[in-house]
Amino acid sequence: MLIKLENVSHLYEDQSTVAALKDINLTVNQNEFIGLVGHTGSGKSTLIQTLNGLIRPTRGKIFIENEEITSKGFDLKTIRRKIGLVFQYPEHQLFEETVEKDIAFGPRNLGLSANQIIDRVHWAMDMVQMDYDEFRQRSPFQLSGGQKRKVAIAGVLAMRPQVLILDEPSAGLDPMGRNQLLQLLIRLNKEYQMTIILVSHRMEEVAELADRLLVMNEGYLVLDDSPREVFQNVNLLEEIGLGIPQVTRLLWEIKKRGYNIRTDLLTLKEVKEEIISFTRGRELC
Amino acid sequence: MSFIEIRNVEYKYAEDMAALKGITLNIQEGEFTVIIGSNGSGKSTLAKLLNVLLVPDSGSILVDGMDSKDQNNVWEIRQRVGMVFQNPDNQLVATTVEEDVAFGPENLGIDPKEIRKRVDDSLRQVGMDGYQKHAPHNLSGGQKQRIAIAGVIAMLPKCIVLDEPTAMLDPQGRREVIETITRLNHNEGKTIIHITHYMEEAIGADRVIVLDNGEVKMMGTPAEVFQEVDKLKSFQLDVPPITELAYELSRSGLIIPGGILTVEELVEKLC
Repeated sequence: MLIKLENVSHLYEDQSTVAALKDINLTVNQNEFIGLVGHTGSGKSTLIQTLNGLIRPTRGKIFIENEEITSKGFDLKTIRRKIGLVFQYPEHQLFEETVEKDIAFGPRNLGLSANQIIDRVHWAMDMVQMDYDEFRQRSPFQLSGGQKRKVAIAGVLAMRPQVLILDEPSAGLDPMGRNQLLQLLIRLNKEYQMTIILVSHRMEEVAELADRLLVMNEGYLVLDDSPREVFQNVNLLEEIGLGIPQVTRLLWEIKKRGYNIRTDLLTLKEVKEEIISFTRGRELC
Repeated sequence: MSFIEIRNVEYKYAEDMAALKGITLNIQEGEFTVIIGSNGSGKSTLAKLLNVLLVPDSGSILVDGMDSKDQNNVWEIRQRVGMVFQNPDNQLVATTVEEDVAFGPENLGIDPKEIRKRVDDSLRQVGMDGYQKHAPHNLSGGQKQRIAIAGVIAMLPKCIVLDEPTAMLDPQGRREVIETITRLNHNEGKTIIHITHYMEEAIGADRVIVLDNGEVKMMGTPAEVFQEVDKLKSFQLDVPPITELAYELSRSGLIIPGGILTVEELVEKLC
């Protein structure tokens, strides 16, 4: 097991009565693809920041590869190499004068040789589909929003983390940019065995990509299961303002009208097949 | 004459970078128009031209009959066409909500009593009455964006142009903004031009305009535009998930009309 949280709670100092995390128990295994969903203020962002040591929870223990990172005096630098965090709007954090320097910033701090750094930058730019020769000398500030986002993500990838955590990486991207990004995550997970934790507001996105879904509400981890199982909890999900994929909601609406139809399907393809067999069945009666 | 007339408008950022390549478009008063298009399609350039942040290199834009190229019309046009941007944090300037909303009218030199009334009316119209004394930075994204809209409507514009106002919001914030602009359109008769990447936000519009590579490629009611799934995909756009499902089902031989937009419509057709 890669990451383990034991009874983790966190209180922010300035709002002492509101707990951001409440008694979270969680394990993450190597090479999982996890979706993390919850309303704004549910504790998602706090949770991911505890995982790479940016926030030290007020209670509980966090283990990364069996090392307790919450113990006093633990060197958090080692953790940040293992766990890469892509913040919301990561392009706001670009600062170097060229794309290459920006992406190389992390690897340079790892003490790698010049050649190794170039290899890392080259690889990271390949992964985000930016041509190395075309873009390396460009100023990141003169790129489009979508390109800036790619540079920022490449900077985290260049650290070759074991775990990649992304906080709404597709927010504000156009449909093509979003699809490219999601394909990248699938590739990192399948080809490079990276463990992915994807925070998203789009139920369609996590339903399609994740093997496992974590649902947070008011600081609690309220559901932790496969997307198929999680999205069976329609009432709970609507109550906490999340909802379910539209195509799944269609199945529930048909069922509500008294028809016999499966509701545990999430993707367009699955739902399409179920509806085709549903309509055939009806023609027969 | 239409409220906004866009005639053969071209705009270039550089010699070889044409953002708009000859756009002709009429917008009627009271219309709710949604503009979609991938990054670099020219959407934001068009928005800036409507508010005279940019003027066309060639062609013309008439707002209420006033040509945006004429310097004397700039402030008149901006008063009629208000603009809301993507990032709410970049648009709020004051320390309280009411000061923020009052900022525009104050610059026009309007009587303080009238300003008070406009601020309160505007906040009521965006569902933020009671927040007058709140600090904007403590509000949620959706609330901030509604304050930005209130600041625009305090200028009593006929038209509001919103350039991806929901891109940085969570689903709840997005809902709040969409409900607000829909209400402003229905109840107050404001002309709305809404630019978005979220296809499902186009469902309630009177008209959807698809921009690609600086040109208008499609135009019609949401049902008309979204039934052309393959064409939209060729412009790197998506269709709402239910529309795509309906389309796939009809390709598999089920008899389903094109342009289904909501779960409810599709349930109706299937049951």
